[in-house]
Amino acid sequence: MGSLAQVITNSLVLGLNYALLGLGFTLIFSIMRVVNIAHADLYMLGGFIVFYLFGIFNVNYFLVLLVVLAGLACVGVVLEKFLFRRLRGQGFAGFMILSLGLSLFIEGVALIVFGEREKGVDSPFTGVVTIGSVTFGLERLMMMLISIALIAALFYFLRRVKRGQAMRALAQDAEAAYLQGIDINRMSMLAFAIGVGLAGVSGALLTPISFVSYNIGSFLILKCFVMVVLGGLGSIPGCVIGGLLLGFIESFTLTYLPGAYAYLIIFGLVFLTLLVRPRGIMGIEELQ
Amino acid sequence: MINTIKNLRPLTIATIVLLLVYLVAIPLLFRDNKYVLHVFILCSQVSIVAITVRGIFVCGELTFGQVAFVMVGAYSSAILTTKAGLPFWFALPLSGILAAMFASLVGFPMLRLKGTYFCISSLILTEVLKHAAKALDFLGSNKGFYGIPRPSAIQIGTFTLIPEFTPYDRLPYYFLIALLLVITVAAFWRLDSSPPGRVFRAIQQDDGLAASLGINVIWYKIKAFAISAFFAGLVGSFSAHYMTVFYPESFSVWDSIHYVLYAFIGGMGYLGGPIVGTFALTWLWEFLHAAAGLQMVVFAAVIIVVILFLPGGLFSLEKFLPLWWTRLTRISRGKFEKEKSNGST
Repeated sequence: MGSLAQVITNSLVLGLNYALLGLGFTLIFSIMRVVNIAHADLYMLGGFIVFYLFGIFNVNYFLVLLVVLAGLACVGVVLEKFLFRRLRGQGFAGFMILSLGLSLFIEGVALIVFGEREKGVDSPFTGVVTIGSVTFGLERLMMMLISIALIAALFYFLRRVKRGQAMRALAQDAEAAYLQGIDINRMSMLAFAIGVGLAGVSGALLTPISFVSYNIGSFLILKCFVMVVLGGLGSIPGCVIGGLLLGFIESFTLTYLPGAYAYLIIFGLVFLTLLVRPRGIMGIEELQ
Repeated sequence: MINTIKNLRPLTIATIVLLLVYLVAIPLLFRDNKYVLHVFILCSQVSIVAITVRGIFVCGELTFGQVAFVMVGAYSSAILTTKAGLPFWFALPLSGILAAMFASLVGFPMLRLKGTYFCISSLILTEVLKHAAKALDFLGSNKGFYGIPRPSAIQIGTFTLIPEFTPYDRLPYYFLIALLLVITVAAFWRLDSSPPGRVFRAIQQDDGLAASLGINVIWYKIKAFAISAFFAGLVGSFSAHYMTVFYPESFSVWDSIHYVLYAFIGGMGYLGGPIVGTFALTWLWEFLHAAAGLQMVVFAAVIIVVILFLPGGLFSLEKFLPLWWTRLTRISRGKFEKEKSNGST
């Protein structure tokens, strides 16, 4: 359906959004070396906030985005301080199970508060944009631009801002970072704040063109895994590449191949990547 | 040989009591209650797989892929009985063997990965198998298998060794899976106290050091992987013949994650840990049905609390119990040496 250019555009939009979701995941992983299964559920929270504030109360969309970013950043700080910090240094298994419990908890609360059915939101931007032979909705264009802006902001933060550089230092070599006086408590909270905030914004952006439900997190976390494996666990630019790759592969296989094969190919590819080059395209060398 | 005989301790009293309760008391009490029997059957099934998760954890790896081997067992058993006409009692061990063979094949590249990478690869393995099953027609494609025959009766002359399994009575299934559970526990108990078991624990503690001592780490990990897969395959086969129907969507990555969850919450350091975790959490979930909407939230809260405050799992509460209890439960705690070892690692 649609031209090749259309599929490419869809891939870009999807890919960038996935990248946004995965960036938070990777950030937390690179600092704390552990996997957060609840990440995609935080995406869901962002989506539900959009549903209520924008869909029902008609608050300005950009304002809602800011609320999501700030709100979920606070949630991230709380999670780090009261939950995950207790398990620091205890190995990755406990952390995973804790994040699993958290994921179930958030989904349980969402089930009670929001109900079982999927919710959709009308698009905040209507109209289409035509560039050359490609036509796509203004909505998707805005999504792409916002995603790119946020990703660029993150990159700038990590490269040029002192705090961000400190985070990278911590990710590279924790002991050396301590010696430099970098405070792991502050950095962990910051990493969680940014990571969770990005997840929420990703949900807020994607919900108008898709939908949100209480258990969408369980489905999306798998895509997170796919993305970070392809691009490289622990690498921020790798995550963007992984996200884009996932977007492209998904769009192309779903458009041109029968449904069952699409995911077989995606997961098969991921499995092969893990076997052949576990650190993905740009991942960090050693692990554990 | 002499060593293994020395290592076989007589069954402790607590284990005997538990066996009596599980094999005699509960069937008598709940003979007609299909629901309770069904939950217990589920508990038994999941306990076995949770024990296999622990079986790999003693090598130092966490696997989120046991559902893959359950699937292999289920599909093999279904194909062997429906298409090849084999009776269930032959298909059961064969499915286990096929699952173990598959694990050896897949384990060889997978087990070269460490830590988080291995976890993720095991997770992905399940998804790959599921989508492959959906796409391939001889595996039933999206429809899966239906009309899988129930286990047949075994008669020796006029003596009925094993009665007919019918859709109306859950009891034979209950006993079958309980028996499988006992066999699994016995197998892993023997494995833990045997020389390979000690090698596994050496690998768990420091596999670089183990390798430097001349231990072929990958070889041992594959062995553990295959053994665990065998039992997971048995569960798959049982499940196929219990439900008589399944399709790719019956299996999910989240089942795998639940197996790890139950094993972890119960206590990975103890042989009885996964069983305790499974029974406790499964029954908790069932009891929480009364709470309707709060079911998931309370369940998750319990998990979070246990993980934060009981790093050794539920079983680690045993250190608060008096000494005589500790002596009685030596088997289920998997302690076969005199020295004390701490909980999870």
